[in-house]
Amino acid sequence: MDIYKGDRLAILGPSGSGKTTLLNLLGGITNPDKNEGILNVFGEEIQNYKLKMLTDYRKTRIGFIFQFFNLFPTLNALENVIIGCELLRNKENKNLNTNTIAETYLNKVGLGERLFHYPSQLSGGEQQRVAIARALAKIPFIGKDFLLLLDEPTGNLDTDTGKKIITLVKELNEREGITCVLVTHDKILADLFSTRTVHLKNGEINN
Amino acid sequence: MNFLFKKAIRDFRKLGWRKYLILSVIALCIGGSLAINYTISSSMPMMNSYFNSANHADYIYQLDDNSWINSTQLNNLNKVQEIKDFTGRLFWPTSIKLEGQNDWKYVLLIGLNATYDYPEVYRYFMKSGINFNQDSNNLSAIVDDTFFSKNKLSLDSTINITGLNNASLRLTGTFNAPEFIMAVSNPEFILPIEGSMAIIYLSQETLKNYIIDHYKNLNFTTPYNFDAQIQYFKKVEYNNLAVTFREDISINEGNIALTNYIENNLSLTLKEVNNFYEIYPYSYMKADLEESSEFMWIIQIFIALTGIFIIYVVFNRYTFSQSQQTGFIEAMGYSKKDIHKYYLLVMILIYIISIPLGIIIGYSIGYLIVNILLTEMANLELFEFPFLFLPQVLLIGLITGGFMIFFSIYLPVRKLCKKDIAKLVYQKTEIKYKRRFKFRIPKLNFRKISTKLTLKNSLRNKKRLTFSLLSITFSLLIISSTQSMLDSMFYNIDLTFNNPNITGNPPVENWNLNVQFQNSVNISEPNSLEEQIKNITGIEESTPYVKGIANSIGKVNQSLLMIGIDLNSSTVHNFRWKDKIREQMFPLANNEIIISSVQAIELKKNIGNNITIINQTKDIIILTIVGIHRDLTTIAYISDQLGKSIFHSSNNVIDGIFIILDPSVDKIEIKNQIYNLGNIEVIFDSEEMAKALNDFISNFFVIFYVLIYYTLVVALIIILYNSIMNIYDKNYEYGILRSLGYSKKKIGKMIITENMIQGIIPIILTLIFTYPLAVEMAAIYEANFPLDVFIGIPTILYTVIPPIILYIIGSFIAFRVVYKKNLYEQVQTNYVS
Repeated sequence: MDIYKGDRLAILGPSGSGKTTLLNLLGGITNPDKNEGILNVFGEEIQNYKLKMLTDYRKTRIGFIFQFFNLFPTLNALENVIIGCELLRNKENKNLNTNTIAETYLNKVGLGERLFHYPSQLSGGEQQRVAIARALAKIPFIGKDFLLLLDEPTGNLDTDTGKKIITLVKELNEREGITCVLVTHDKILADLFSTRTVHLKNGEINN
Repeated sequence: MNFLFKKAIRDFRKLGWRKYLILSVIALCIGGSLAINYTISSSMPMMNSYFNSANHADYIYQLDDNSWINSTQLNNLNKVQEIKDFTGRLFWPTSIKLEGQNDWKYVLLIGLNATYDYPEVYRYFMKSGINFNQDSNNLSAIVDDTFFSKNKLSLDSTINITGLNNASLRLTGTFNAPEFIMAVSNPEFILPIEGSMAIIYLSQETLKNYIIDHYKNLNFTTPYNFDAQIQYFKKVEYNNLAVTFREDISINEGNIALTNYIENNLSLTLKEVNNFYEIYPYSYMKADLEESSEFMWIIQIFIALTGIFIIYVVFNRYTFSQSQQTGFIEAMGYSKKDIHKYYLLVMILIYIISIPLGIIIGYSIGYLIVNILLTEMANLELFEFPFLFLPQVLLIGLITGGFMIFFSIYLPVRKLCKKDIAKLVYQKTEIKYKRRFKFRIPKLNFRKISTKLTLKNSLRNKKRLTFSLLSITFSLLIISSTQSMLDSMFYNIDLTFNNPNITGNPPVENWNLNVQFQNSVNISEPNSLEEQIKNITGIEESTPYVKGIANSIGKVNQSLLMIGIDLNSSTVHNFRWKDKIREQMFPLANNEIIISSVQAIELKKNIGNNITIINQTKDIIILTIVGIHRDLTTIAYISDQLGKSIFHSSNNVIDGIFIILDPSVDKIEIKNQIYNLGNIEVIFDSEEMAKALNDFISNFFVIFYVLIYYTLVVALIIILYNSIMNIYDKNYEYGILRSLGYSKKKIGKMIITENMIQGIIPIILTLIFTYPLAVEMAAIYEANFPLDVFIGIPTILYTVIPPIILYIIGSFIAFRVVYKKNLYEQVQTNYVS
């Protein structure tokens, strides 16, 4: 399976088809259990990466959006975004202000008025937007050579909100040119979002 | 309901290692509390049974030096109808220098009628070998087991009583005598010094003959004439009586009757009369047990509070971890009453496992502690005291344990049941954000948000955090306050005898040697013993004194050991004052007295009060208290002139001499020279005394070490649990950090920082409260052992080092937990169960 830069790829399939596993492999949060096949991401073959290299890979190449938003309950929206990008500060990019960047991306996702709200004060959709902003806030540090992976991002949201989130990501993709991979079982959302669709069944591509 | 019952058991089993932790914390806290309760409740009954087994005397009568009695007079005591049993003894205090040793030891020789197997009153118990009267050799003797073992003597060996003209005795056995437990080398000192005083039982006939030989020898070797004494000793047998009275009369009545008989019918003079409850061994043991009980009450409360707090924290977490499932159960249709029943089942499960375990621990440790206490006091082997089953301890364990568990589960469950079912089912985390009580970290600019996150996480969940920290603080306070008591005791011994490491304080006992004469010395005679001692090269300073016992009468009657001495131009003694009337205390006027703080408490007297004393010649003297000292001695000080008039009929007689040596001289050589002059009862060496006192503290207060290490174990479990669960609760948040690309090193640093922030709080609180708590605990011992509180390095080390190490270990374990789980699973669960 190939993923092209700037793609909006949707991976569809029934439960147990392996779509989440595939996403996890791409995101470096799980290792393959067999020594077969190649995972080549931006020229790096990550299938044999050890823990430290996978950590660096996740830091510099991946933005992950989970179903349950996964925000820190004790940090407000702004801080939840900053914690993702301050990891990338070094000597070369020390001029970049993480506060400003975080604010910018929160504005982009429409949460400019909610910077200092805590997750328990935000709706599900708003929390997911924070998660998206956190993932995208890496761009000024690492450029657009990174994968935004979305694992059932609308699973915990109502249909309308879900659509809004998907539309947001689509707009960000078109504006920023980032590569997105969406895992979902919802064909309508997949059609709304993607430029290409891959169907999985029993761990194999079944287009 | 069956389902709930099965679920309760299964959920508890699924806790894995945490259930062992929960059960062990409960068992240890309850066990510790009960152990102390058992110790407090059983120590006095056990002590009393020990004395009763020896048929202790109701009264002991020490006759005057010129008032011994013979066998006929002794047997005629049968005529005193108040008497039940009696035993005549011949007491002879002297000194001994054992082969291969440099120092002289105090020895009390007790002559008994060899025709009896054991004395009727104050029986002793053989520990090894055979009784002296079972051996055909009339030079046989038995020695107390402590002296025997501390000085590495052997059975069937011969010892020479150096102070009694090298009288030869063959040791046939060892014994333990309740009358002489807490045997001291110097009864003036508050603390006993094991092994430096010997008690030897032998045939009265043999001892008498040796005394006569001793005086015959003095006739030849000294310029004095002892013919009168020799003739006298040939006619008499005993100088000490141990008596029990009939049970149907009071011991005071018995005492009055017998005293009258001795003084009027037998025309003898009594030097000292002691009620059993006033004698040093019993009163010291009783006082010590009472003080230890008071001390232990404080520890018991602390352990109980530690248990309550930590159990609350554990169950608070447990109930939260079950809260979503609780929501599911309620959503299915089970009532809140069913939920209460479910947790009641869990509580019962924990109760039936942990409480019996705690009770067993309580009885076992309590029995061990009370045995350590009593066997140290009574110089016995461990576990010679029988186990006493005290049902009240069992009851306290069952009730207190139930209360602790119920209280700890009920409150969180009650809170849980008040919640809306939807909130239970859909809850994300425990964090509640309430605008009014928002916790901000104000005005702190963090360079990194990860630092802010760490700080916020470490102070999350205020109630649980408070209880956790309180339980850790209490357990550390038990450790630190107990250790500080030990530090203080060693420090006070240092203050008394001037350990070279203590600077800036002149020692209380500044003398090097305290020479006590066998018979009082007349200093007006040419070349008197005092003169001869002063002339020994190497003696820098010497201060003579008189010594004796007088009775203080009033609201409280008390025997007072008194020294008459002029310290005006002497440096042999530097008082630690509790209170004094004037800056320049010496010379004392002839109507003034300085007493010890221990005596002041016993007599209920203060500065400026009068004290009425009666000496052996029944003279009544009224003295004003001008000073109260806090030395380790229980000696009252009066002017040398007054002392001579109270204890002697002459102004030229002394009983002993304090000596300060030139630091460059050979002390042993000086001691030998002094002993060779004759008429020396014993020479006390301050350096030896300091060492022996330090050894005593280490051995006697082993109970403190038991408390310290037991509590360290409890603290270890609590700290480990806290530091692991702290991180475990936020497992998914650490999963988010991992998914964001935070490295192991960064996450490890965050974990350890979070735990250390929490860990430092109880350490600081403990360091702050140790001193005030130690002062309170020292006040408990004030009536027997006036302590200046000192927080030593061991206290600080015990308070700081073990918790830090435990937090590091806990962080390491938590770190492994964070990395053990598959990252995807870790981030998918938005709370930890």
